[in-house]
Amino acid sequence: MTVNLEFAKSPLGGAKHGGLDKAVLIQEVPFTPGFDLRVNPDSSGFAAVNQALGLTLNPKVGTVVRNNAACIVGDELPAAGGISALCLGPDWWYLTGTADIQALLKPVQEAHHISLVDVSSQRTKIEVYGPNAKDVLAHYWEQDLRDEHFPIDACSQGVLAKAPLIMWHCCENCYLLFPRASFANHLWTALTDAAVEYL
Amino acid sequence: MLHIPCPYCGPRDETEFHYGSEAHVAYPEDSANLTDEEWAKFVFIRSNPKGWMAERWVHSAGCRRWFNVWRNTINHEFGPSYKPFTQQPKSPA
Amino acid sequence: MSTVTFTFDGKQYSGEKGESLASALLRNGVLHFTDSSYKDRPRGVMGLWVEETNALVNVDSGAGEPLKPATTIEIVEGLVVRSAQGVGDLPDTRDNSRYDKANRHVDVLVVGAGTSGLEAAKKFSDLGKSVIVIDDKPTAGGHLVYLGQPVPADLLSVLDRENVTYLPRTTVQGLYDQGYSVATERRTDHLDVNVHTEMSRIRTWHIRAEHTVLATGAFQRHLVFANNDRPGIMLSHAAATYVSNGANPFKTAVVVTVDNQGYRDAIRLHKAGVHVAAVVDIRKKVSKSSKKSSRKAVEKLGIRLIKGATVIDTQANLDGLLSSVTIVDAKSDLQETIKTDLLAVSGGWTPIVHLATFIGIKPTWSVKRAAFIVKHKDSLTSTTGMLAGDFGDDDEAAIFFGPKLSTEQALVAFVDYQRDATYRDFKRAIDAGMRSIEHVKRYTAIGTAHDQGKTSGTVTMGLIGQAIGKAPDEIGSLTFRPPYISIPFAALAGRDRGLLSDPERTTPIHSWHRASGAPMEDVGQWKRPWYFPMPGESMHAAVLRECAAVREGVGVMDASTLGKIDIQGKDAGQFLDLIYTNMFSTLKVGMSRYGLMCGIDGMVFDDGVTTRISENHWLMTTTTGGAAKVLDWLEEWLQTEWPHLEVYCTSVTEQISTVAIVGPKSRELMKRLAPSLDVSNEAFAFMENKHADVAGVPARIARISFSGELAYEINVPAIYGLHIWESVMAKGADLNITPYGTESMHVLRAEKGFVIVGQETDGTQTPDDLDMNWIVSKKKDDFIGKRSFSRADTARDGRHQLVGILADDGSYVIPEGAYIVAGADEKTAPPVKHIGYITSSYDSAALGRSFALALVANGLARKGEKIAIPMADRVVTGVITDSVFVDKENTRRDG
Repeated sequence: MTVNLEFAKSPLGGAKHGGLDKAVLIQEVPFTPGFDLRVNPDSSGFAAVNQALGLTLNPKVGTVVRNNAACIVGDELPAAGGISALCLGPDWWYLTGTADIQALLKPVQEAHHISLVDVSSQRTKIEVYGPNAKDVLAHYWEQDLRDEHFPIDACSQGVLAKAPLIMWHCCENCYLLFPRASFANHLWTALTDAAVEYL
Repeated sequence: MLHIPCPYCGPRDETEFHYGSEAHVAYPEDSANLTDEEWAKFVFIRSNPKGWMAERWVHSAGCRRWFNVWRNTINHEFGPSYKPFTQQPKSPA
Repeated sequence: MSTVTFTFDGKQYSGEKGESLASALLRNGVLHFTDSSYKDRPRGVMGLWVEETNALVNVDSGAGEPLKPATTIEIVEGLVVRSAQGVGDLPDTRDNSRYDKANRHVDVLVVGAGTSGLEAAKKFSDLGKSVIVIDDKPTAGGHLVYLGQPVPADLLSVLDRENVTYLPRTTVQGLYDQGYSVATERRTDHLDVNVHTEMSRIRTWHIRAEHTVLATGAFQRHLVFANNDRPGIMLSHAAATYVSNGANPFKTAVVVTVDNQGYRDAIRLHKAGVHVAAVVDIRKKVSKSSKKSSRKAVEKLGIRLIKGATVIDTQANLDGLLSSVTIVDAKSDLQETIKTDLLAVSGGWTPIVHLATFIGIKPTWSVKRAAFIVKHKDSLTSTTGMLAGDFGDDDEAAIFFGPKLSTEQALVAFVDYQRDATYRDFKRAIDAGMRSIEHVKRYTAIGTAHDQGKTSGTVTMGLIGQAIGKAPDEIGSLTFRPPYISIPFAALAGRDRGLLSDPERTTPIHSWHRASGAPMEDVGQWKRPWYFPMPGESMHAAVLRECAAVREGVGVMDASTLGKIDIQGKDAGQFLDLIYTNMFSTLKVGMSRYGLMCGIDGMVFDDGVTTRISENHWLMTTTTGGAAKVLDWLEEWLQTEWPHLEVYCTSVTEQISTVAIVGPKSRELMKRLAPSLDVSNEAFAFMENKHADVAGVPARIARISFSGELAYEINVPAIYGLHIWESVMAKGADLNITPYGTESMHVLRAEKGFVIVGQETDGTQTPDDLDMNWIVSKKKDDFIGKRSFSRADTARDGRHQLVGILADDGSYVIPEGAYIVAGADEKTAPPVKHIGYITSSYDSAALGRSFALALVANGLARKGEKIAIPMADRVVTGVITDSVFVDKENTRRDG
């Protein structure tokens, strides 16, 4: 979906806390489209989806496959045209990136039993980056953040400060959070509060 | 806080799940032909055993999948979890 | 070491920074710490650490904290404490310290940094496991630290390893199922008395370990004899440790013991310059090795050894301090009095079994060690060190808890110091027939004080055994519950307070609502504008104004919080037919339909409008509070009962922002907002959906009404929600567009007799009960709940049914929840039988009076009947009516 920036307002207005040179940087990442894809990996639709996206989706929950250069670090946006596919359930992916995902999958939708839902507005994206990023998150995130258990390009859904979200360990010391928009303000309060001891 | 083994995501904190009562209580296909007593048994009556019990959970805050798992109602020990419509593993008892 | 000054009971003292308050006070010659809670007996420090039963203080400096053992407080400059006579008091001022929590996953958690704990940490670290070592003391080494012996360097260095984390001053408070434990780390109290607002004062760790090693060590316990509570009587291990560290107010000591520890402490006291008048050992005979290591060593120093004897009574000087002890020979009953100002008691070791019992492991009684021990090993938990029965040189103790006492002596022989519970109290419980530790505990209050029986537990079990001739493990078993030591509630709350106590969910338009000054209503976690008052306007006036605007002009409401579920797949229609009571598969593309869903018990579960977007694509709305529950419900049926149905459900609650414009003038406003759209009733009918650009943004517009009025719901991607709202306000300004909140929404829908699930229902209403039989399909073979409608109870006469109620006094708004009594003339004084209750009640601008909805037994057949509602100050009379008050013929929805 194309965004009319004149009228659009992100939940946190691009808020920023801490810094790249600090123990932690917390910031709302500029708008990038996102889609919930549902497809049975044992169905004919799965191969068609892979072909259309030019990506081999991994049906193992918690994995990420992507064909873009990198995640968003600091102020750098991901490479144009990329797609990252986060596996959230055995037949469920969150697709995000700047590629025209809707156009790519339209023919597949017409021929196969899949579901593609635009959820670009549903979630905002918060990046938590820096040497103490993990410590900040561990104040609220119950799941195991140790690199051997949650390595780079692992993702997980869970609850952070009582707000449900998707977490993606996108590169070293960098975590992308995808909370529901209604929780964005609450989560921002929680994250900046958790960072107090490190900043 | 229980650590519940989701068959898709691995062990996760109890707060991510919702409980779904006893497993293997199928919705009757011919509900119209059931007596009131038979229907009430399906709606209201569960075995509530002391010890190992196969029960249903849904990983609400995670993969959103419903699954079955053996749990010991005495000490909260979890046995194997398994996906719906798959072979039920033997009771750990 | 630096010297610091601190205040105890208003008097200044100095001590060495970091030493315990107990040690510093002893160094200053303070023996009499406090008086006991119930009997006002002078008491001094007994122990070394959290087992302390007497020396409790209230901390007034810094964050302040009530009832802390003086043995566990590290003194810092400016510390202010008061002795606590068994009762704590909270500081008057607010504690602004920061408290937080953190989660941690680890391969192995080792509880206790004594030698056994360090050995376990080394073993697992060597295997490449990540290890957390937690110890509640400031330094690692366990008893070695007390004994003044160096901790072996190869063990201590384990704590510096890459894969080992060491948390000192951290107490594992609870151990739970599956390797989960909760620990509190004291992070600032030992630094200074400041209130720390950036670094947390206490951090509560939530730890998941694949394996937990319990190396919790042991406490020394006391013996029960007459006047065993005087200042100057201490556990021998504690006395020897304080004295060896230079905190020595004593000249002479008598050591009374049941094991070899007493001998070692006698030697330490002797070496520190205390004259040890005697070592009194209840054991007549000991093993060869003990003879060599203990008895010979003591005698070599010229210390008198009295075998087969124990202390039976003590005497005090005028200050209440210990002056002499009476010794009794166990066999001959011959007594002897020895002058001394210190009585060091070694009553045996009590391993710290708490954490093990938290997870249901039962300690076993070791006769040889005279102790409850826990020898345990499974994949989740193992024990080591003294807890597991490895007592080293103390592997030989008499099972002895105190001598036979006279009635008078029993009155002052304390079993539990904090509760002032004596042997006499204990005996009374036994004489009353109590045998189990649990019964004795509740009869006497032994073990229920601040220390939760850390030292008195085993003593009590031993005494029961002695009294009834059974072994301690035949009495019952020691069971403890978390927390291990008391924790401030603030530490448990952590950051979960104020704004962070529960998420506040907000819509994209929330900033506008806030800026308008609208008070918010909590709807689940959502914050929704309640009403939009004009300056100085009351809620009542605002709601009447808002409702009137909707019925006569145009109002606008933020409906973004409604739950929304995107449903796709060729079997979606069939699926919805099973979920809803009414038919959906026949719905035409582009149309919406209201639906009701029930549980298998036939009771109304949720409702909402579902729209057919295209042949195989639907959008369901749910109640604001029901969104998550309904999605779980849909997934449950799809995944566990009907996996053959090709249907996918996706939550889109926050993808879509919904702005509803409502009222006769909404058509004009809609036309202005979407000039390309034909808004005539012919082109855009009730329950129809259209796609059009609204204020430059692609939108789906639905002609749905929750008020009975002509209405358009504008649905856009949520990032445009605020833009649409602002456009509506701008374009509707000259139409006097009126924003309205949840209260007016409730009034407007109630006037139309529309139910709110959760307000008119409480999980015991069928569609019939709500007078909604029209929505229950008679054509469908089955849907969820159908079979239950014919159950005897669901079909019986006399069920509560939805009706309207009009009070005779139209200016009176009946409180919601009020009970209804049949007949206006009937007696309304208790006892009266109620026939139902009010579910919704408002003042109505449209009706010019108040009205209510109610659930009344057989209500549908009772319309026109008089009723009464007894209130505290009056009896309200009224009449049962139809539940629809406004526009019964549905003429207003088309404008």
